Order: sequence, then structure tokens, then C-alpha cells
Amino acid sequence: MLAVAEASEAPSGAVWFINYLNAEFERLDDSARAWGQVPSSRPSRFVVVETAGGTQLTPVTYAVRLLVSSWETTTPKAERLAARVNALAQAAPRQVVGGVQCRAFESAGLPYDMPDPDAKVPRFRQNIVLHFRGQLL
Amino acid sequence: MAKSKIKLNSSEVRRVLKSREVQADLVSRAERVAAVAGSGFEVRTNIGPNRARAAVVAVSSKAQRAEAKSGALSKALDAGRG
Repeated sequence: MLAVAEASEAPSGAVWFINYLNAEFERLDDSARAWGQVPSSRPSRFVVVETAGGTQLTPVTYAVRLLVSSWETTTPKAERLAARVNALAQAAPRQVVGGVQCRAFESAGLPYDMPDPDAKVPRFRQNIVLHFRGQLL
Repeated sequence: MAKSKIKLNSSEVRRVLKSREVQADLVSRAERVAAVAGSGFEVRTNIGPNRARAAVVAVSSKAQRAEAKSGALSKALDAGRG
């Protein structure tokens, strides 16, 4: 009998983090919402989460790097929103969203000021790394 | 069973971290990151008191814009692995 290797599929860290942030923003009665890209009807306070690569740690575990941008109407407000996102990211380990549990958080530096060059809208960016276990196919 | 004790020779560790081999490895990784990030990203190196360093810097306005708009450099970091 042939041994069949089990295939493991990485979860989408960006989708997980967007859903996690939106649940937390609601819980905190915060008007901010997270998206995968800048929404067409641009709100004054929002977060964009993009996948920026990562590493497969073992055959079934993944470290997903996310590029997270926090937009607000003023630079101090954008900085505070980014700090809130950072705090929520640090609290992500052991949280379960959509049946997927985040296993660890790695800081890849604190948020930094990087306004959008076209819109000139205040924006803080940060890179974070979240660990997940893949789903066996 | 007796426990082993490892004591690092700090000056030798520093020598290794500043060696030409480590410098070459860092430059190779940084060049891969710069290549994936796109044009206008340049590799810069220096040797600090304890270790060699390599950095990828956006030197053109086009590259700075690419990082600001789409995170071109942030998304290229994995090219430095391996």
C-alpha cells in the first residue's frame, strides 16, 4: 500500500485579520473597519490589510506577514488607530475566527508615518506576522 | 549525566559576524530583495562595531512612491530568505 502525504493549505492571514479586526472594532464600539483594499466610498477612519509574504515554518504551520495601513483624518488620529491595531494584533494569539486559530504574533516593528502620496491622507503603516496552522486537505 | 556548558568567545563571534563571507551573504540577500522590489532600490552595506549590515534603500522618487503606494519593498522581504 502506498503512503499518501497529507497536503496542508495555508489559511489567508489577511482575511483572518480583517475579520478579527472588524469583530474587535464592533466590540469596542469603534467606527473603524478593516478592508482588503481602499474602499471606493472612502470612510474617514479605516484599516487596509494586505498580504506581504511569510514563511512556511513546518509542513503544517505558517507565519504570514501582513502590511497593515491605518487611515484617519489627521496624523495623530492615524497614529492612535495604528496603535489600537497593533494592540489588537498582539492580542490575536489563541483567538479563533471562522474556525481558524491564530497561534502566535510577531512584531516586525512599530507603526510608522507614511501618508498616501496621491490622496495626501494621513496614514500609518506597520508590518506584523501572525502564525497559523494549515488545514489538511 | 554532567551538563555541558558552552561559553561563546565574543571577540571571535564578532569577527565571524563581520567576516567577508557574512558580508557576501548579506549582500546577496539584499540584492535579491532589491531586485524583487523593482528599479530604484539600492543595496547599502556597512560594518558596525559588532556585525556587518546590509540595507535596501529606495533611492529614486519612483521607488519611494512604489513603497508608499503598494509596499513594494515590504512585500519583497521574503526574497532575502533561504
